[in-house]
Amino acid sequence: MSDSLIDATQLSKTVMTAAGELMVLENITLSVAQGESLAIVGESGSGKTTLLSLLAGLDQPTRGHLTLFGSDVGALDEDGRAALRLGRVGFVFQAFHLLPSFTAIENVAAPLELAGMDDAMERARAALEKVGLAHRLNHLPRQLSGGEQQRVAIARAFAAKPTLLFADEPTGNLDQGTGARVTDLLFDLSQGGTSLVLVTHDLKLAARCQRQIRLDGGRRVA
Amino acid sequence: MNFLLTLIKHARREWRGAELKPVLAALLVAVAAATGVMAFTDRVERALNSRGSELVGGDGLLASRFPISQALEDSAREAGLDTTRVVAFPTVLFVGDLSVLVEIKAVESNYPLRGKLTAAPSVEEAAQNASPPAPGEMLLDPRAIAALEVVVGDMVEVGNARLRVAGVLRDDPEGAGSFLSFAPRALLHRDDVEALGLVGPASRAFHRLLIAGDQAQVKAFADAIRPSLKGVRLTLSQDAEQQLAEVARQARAFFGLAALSVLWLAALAIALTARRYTQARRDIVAQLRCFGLSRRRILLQLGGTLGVYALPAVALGVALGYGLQYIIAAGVEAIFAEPLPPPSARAGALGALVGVLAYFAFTMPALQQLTATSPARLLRNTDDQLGWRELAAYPIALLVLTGAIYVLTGEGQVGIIAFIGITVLALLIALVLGTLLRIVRWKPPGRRFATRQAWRQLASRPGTTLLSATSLALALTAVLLLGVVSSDLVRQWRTGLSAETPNRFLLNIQPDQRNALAERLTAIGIENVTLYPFAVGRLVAINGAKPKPEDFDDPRAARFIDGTLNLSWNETLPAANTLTSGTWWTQGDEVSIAENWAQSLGLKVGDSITVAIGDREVSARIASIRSVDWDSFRVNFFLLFKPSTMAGIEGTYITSVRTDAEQGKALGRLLREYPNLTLIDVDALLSRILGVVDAIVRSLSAIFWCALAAAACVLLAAFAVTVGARRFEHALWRSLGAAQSTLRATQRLELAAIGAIGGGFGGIAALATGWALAKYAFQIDYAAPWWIAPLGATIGIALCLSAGWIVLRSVSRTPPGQMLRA
Repeated sequence: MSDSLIDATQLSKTVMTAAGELMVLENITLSVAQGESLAIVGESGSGKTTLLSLLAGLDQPTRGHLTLFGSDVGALDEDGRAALRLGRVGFVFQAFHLLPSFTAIENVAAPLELAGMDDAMERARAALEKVGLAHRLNHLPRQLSGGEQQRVAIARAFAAKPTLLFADEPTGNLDQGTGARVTDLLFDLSQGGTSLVLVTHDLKLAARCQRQIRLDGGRRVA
Repeated sequence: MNFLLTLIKHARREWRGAELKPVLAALLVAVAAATGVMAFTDRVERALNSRGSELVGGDGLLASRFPISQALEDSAREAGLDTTRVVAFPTVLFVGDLSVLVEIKAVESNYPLRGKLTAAPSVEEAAQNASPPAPGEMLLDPRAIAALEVVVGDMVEVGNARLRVAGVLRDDPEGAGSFLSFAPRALLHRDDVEALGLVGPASRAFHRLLIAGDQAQVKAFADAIRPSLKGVRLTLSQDAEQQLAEVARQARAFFGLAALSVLWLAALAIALTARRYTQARRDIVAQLRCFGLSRRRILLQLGGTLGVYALPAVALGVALGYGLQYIIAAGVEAIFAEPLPPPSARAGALGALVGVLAYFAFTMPALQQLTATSPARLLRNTDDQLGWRELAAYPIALLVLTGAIYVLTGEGQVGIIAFIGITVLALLIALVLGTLLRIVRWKPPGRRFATRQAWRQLASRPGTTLLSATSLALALTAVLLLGVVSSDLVRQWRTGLSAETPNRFLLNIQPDQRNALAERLTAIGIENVTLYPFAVGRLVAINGAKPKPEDFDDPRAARFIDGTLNLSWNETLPAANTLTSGTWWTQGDEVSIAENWAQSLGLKVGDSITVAIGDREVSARIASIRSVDWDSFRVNFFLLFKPSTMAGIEGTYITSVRTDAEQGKALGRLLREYPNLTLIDVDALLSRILGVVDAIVRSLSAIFWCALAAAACVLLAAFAVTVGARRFEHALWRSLGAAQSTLRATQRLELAAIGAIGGGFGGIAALATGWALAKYAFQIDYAAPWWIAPLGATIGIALCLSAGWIVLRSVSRTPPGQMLRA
């Protein structure tokens, strides 16, 4: 049995289009160890997001084999895959994806409640304090700036102390200065033993990860 | 042509989207409800109008509690008019052990002067034109025939006589007040009246003289006699027509106002769904404007699409409306003496007009806003500022809606006030629910994720929650109030009448019958009978001056001045009476008057009144004013004189008694020995009145079920607005590890909570209204049917879950990977 959190072997993904079958990803093999950070880089349309989606168990590969936390993802149905993520996986999305009608603290607390934590509100408050938003607890996302929204998303991702964090272009919607501050926060928080899988086309951001893989046209080229 | 083709193509594409259908469903409900009500009220209106000229059985009638003087009849004849006399009075008919209270009409051979009298040889056979019954015979209403179990040819006891049933009475043209028939009718010849022994000076008989002739002659005669009429009411056929038109107008306003709740909810649903429809098209419109399409062209295309689909929705709505009017009419048909005419096409056109006006009014603001979408939206995804055209759309919408309300109710001001009333009620409900939601948001109840999340979602979408729950609450308040609370309230009021509450009135007791009758009543177990003297008089002076109806603001004053008065005299203050001012008898000629009579005529203690009783005039000082409990079913009078003031006045006697079933039968047998007595069976009368109330409630219920359908449209629309957000939430929670079952449970709990809150609130509001009615209108201790609240909640839950299943079931199919692509 491997020590890796993620073990992907020969992962391929095809989709049907009007013009026939389209290969989106082809024979990707990689692994992510406990506490490791991995950047997936590539041009737009290279298959980065599709790969992230497969690694997180959000989507199923057409071919290949994937184990997540030691479980064979291919043998699990969607609920099984969700259970695998529950409380152990965090996400940071490019578009933040906060619940628009929930306040900052509710956005952070709700996933903790989902993971069955009784002290969800206290933990959420602590997580928001850690990202410097103690004064914004009861604000709705639309009342926050882009950088603040992403900090709420980071607090949401880290509040449950996940083993593995997937970040999809976390600074893609932010200006340079705000992006840099969010990146610092992301890497600071992942120092606590959280593995990080980061999708980006920003090479400077990728360089802060321990390892990088490069995709081009759905293939791993580096 | 090119535009038309584009429009058709566009319309076909639009049908595939999910946003258009709810708009049309809301339109359908509005048209169906409006058509249903319009068709029904139109039938009532035409039924009433068709009878207008025949209603008085002539071109005019003179009516009085006393026989119309021969001099009046002679002067009518001298004026070249035809005349005929009618005497009407209630009495009980007997056949063996069976009896029935009927309204007897004794007529002459030339009756009626206008209109047709029809009768049938048996209940099953068709009616034919008939002549008035010959002496010794009678025509009997089918209800009386059924109650007495007789057939044509059988003999029936009435008063001191036995008459042969000559036919089944169908159409009796002279029927002011008989259109809504409470008691079955019996027609007999006026020559038999004396032999019956039922009509005396103070008996409860109504005398009428019908007149007919050339219109100018009738008018000239009416003008000539009007100033000198005393205690005689003159009604010309055109007055009767006006009265019927007024009844028809009231019926339309009554049912129209009930249908307003449907229009209100349907308008809300149309506004909501239209807004969702246009919001989903803002990016497309921004692109079209970017490509150079004019605002007018876009408005025409979108408005045209909505119009194209409105046509079949309106047609279907009209068809459903005609179906609905049958249900409404079926409820009340039993209380109409004759079948209603079939529905007309005009009602469908008006119903469609109301629906289309509401549709136009409430889609236009959304369309105006949509066409105002700036092409710059493509660059910065912000809300557009509203210009004057968009802002003007709202007042125009309200103006158009006012037109719709006017068409629906026939009432401009009252309709608008009712509409505002519903809005205020909705806002009140929303305010209470909004406060509850704030509390829930602050501390969501429950320990499970699904429960807490459901409450949190409920509170975090206050718009959807409040709209849905308020609409449900409004509709269910109406449905439950009518369907359950009202009938329960009436039932409780009836059963709650104390065991001593009288249920029979005995009238026309002659002075020489008093002692013997009291003994006979005691013998059948009816004790402590108080007999009150009874006389009929007219008010001729107040403080020495002749009163004129036009001097009083209260319209009832005219009735008291022109009509006859039932009066009595007694040494002691009767039960169910309380003095509110003045003192009981002191000295001189005195009278005590009822509070409401005093208010109508502006009288106070110390004033004096003069009444004419037969050919005697009696003047008395008002010694006291009494508050009278008219609900006590005891014998009560507006005017109660000191006995010495009435010395020498010979009246009849009246009493009210409480009987059980056996005593009731014994009393029936007793009447055979005293055929001049009139028995009024309060139980039977109450049953008949309650039957009418029930029938109206049934009809209104049909309308309020439409309100529930409109509320369901609001639910569908409000839930549909949230589909996009819910898909996003579903994908997010799935990516964070939530099980499908947890998310489904969350959504169901959320919807069920909306249903429970809205429905429960509706139930509580219905109970509260019932309680208020019980306390202030019925004045009874009301055992509230508390189960209405959970019943409302259950209906609400079922509706919300059903609407959720229709609109939101696709949400759970959203794949979690969508989060990364959003």
